[in-house]
Amino acid sequence: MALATRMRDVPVTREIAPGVRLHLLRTDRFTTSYCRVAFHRDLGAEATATAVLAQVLQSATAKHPSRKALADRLGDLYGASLHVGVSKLGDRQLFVGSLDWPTAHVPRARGVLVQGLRLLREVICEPKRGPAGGLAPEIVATEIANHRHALRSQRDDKGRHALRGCLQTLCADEPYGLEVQGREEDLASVTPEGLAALHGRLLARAPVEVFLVGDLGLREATAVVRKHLLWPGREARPARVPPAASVRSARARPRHLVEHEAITQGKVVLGSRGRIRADSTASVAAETLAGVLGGGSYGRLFKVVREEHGLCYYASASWHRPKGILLVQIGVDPAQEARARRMIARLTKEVGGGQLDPAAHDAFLRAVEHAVAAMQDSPRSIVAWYQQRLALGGAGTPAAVLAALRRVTPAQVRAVGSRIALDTTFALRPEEA
Amino acid sequence: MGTTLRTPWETLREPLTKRQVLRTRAGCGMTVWVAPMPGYRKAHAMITTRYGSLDTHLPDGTQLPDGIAHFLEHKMFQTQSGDVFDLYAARGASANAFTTFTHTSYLFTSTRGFDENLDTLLETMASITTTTEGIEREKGIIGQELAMYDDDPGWRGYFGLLQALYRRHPVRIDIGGTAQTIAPIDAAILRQTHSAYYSPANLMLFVAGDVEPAEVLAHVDQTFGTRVLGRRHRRPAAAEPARVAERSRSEALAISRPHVWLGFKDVPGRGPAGRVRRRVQGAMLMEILCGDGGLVQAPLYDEGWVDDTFGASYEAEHDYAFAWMAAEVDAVKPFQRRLRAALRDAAAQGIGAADLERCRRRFLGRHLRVFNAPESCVAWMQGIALEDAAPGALVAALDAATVRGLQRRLRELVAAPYAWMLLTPRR
Repeated sequence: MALATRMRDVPVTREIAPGVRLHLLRTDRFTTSYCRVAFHRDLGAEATATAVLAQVLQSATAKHPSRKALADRLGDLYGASLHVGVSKLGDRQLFVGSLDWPTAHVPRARGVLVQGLRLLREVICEPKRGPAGGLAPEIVATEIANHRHALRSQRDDKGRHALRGCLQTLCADEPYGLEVQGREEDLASVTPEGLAALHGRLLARAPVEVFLVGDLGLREATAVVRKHLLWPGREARPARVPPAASVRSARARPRHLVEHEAITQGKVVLGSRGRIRADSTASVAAETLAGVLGGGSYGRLFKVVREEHGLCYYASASWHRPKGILLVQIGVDPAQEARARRMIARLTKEVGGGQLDPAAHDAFLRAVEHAVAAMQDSPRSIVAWYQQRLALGGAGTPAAVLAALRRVTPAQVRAVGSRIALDTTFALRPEEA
Repeated sequence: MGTTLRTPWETLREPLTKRQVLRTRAGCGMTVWVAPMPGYRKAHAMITTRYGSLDTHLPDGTQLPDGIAHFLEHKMFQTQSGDVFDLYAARGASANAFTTFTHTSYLFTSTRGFDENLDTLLETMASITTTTEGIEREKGIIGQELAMYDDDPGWRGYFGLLQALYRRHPVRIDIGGTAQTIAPIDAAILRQTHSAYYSPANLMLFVAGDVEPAEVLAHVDQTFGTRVLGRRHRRPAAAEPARVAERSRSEALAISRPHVWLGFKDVPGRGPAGRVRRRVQGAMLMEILCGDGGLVQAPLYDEGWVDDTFGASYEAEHDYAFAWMAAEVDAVKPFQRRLRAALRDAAAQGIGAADLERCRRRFLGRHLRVFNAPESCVAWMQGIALEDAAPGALVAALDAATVRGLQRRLRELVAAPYAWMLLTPRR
């Protein structure tokens, strides 16, 4: 087998239309190509409508006017995997359409590549419409109903419910506190005409990043994307790129929220925060703090709370860079919750005080080193990392991120630890407890 | 004591991509598979024992506690030199393990220190180190894992359905057992179980990445020697009547709306090739019926009965096979009626040639993705090995599928014994 071409660790970028940038990762290693089109929006009043729009667009197009017709077309393209949805990047909502489709070891592979891009454009830009010009009303009605169910069902995942409960209070008056899929109460105002208008604004004005991973050079990629993916009607002056990062200090007195449900395992989420800017050196130290505290099986939470004392099945910590937030999450025996919380407080104080367990610190750095190296085998990881870098700034390459983490000293962790304070806790407990 | 043997590498070729996979039997009896992936930074290794939750007895007939295969998996990470996770973490490797009905697997992914990590993986299998204190602590941790699954509607629905479908077959038992069944587990029974099912001849090693096959084999020889140890475990077929245990079960759970599961009890195929063919046909059928735009999914979605939570699958081993479909719904009984009607309609309407061709393409596309990552490549090799199948078995089964054959399978399935599992919101 021939040695595959090594990928660059950052894409090559070119602006191909006002506010539309193409980022290319060239590689011949994979059997599939991948294209991701991301529209940047404020996470705000239109969050719910934007989430419904995603569902509507992936249900049908003008050319493939039913869910079955569209699914059949994806099947024809060797089971192309289509996703249209929303995701959260700090205070920003990303509206994303992506396609992953086989373009090697299939007949007429170049043609299949082009067909995939055309289909993605069709899904994003050419929806099925109703007689009044709005999006197809029967599809909109179905997807509003489905979205209502999906929002209600979010509660069924108890760990995520606890996390949402904590973030909603922690970031109560910030975009980040809003669920990226929106709110049930906003569904009443979603209409076919309103969605058509929102869709039109997105296509014309929203800043757009196009990521393409495939076996083609920049010149060819630019040409095929312009011809087969790019849509007409972009305004000469697109909207500004909305901010993704904003940080605050913790509230003076932490809030402690408790909910009860008919469950077996308790969930606790502790949210701490500080004014640690995403592009600062302190943010890198905070990543170290979270990593040593609970970044993996090497972390202090896993070692002490789970392994030494057997109180939890999972116990982890993570740093949310855009918002300067430290989250600790545990799934815990309800009878042991108070004990587990005391241990978490002690360990957070230990690591936040700059006391970096050498084994945990070393393992954290090696885990990051592994993740950086493994990115070479996963273009989606590079795309995800690069998307965040574009939004938040910071080190220019994954390797530079690793180098910055290696330079972090215990004194820097202590300094950042002193700036982070507990803001909100959320406990989901069994009804009997 | 076993006999010494040495066989050369056997080169297997995957027919679609022409990629080569190497297979041999190490001197100790372990089967070793290597998929060279030049240029990849990651290497992935997984070692699998043909021992899972379906093995409810030791070879001498001793009854084992439910959940012991999973319990043993947890305890294998403790060695004389400490926690194995620490060794992997010190080298930046990520490691994990999982227990299924039929097998237990231990794995790592690394971008450096592959040789040392492979040694750790192999040494972890070689012996079990445990203390009474460690076992008791593990019961607390696993108790919390089981508690987490108790709150998971997907898990509860799946096992509730299996309990409705099967009367005696151990597939109806939760892989992790319960807090009560794991309570009596002690060091002695763990050691006996390890001795019975973790011998090299019952182990399979799978490696994918930019690695040298001969070196992989050398590490196996170094750890286990070159004399055959133990023997391959062949699971006897469990006796199970054709009829279901219960036509319908239900449980109340803290969920927002009802979850409905429908399962059909099927007959497994005979012999490795027959099993693969029948499993692939079953999976194709589920895709054609319940995949996006499928003969059942499309009308139910358009009529508002189901949303994106609708899903289906087909699962088969040598002594059981079943198909399931599940959805979150508003009203249980009307949905049950509509789903049954949609299945009857699909059987009457029939499968078209275009349906078959699209389904074939979807499966080929999924198969092609296997070769994009060492992890998926290892999972593919493991699937082949567990089924004693050839690398081209999937592609051959896809090629062999016909409209007539699938149509017959559809009629059989719709007429098969079936059971419902209902999860209802706890008020």
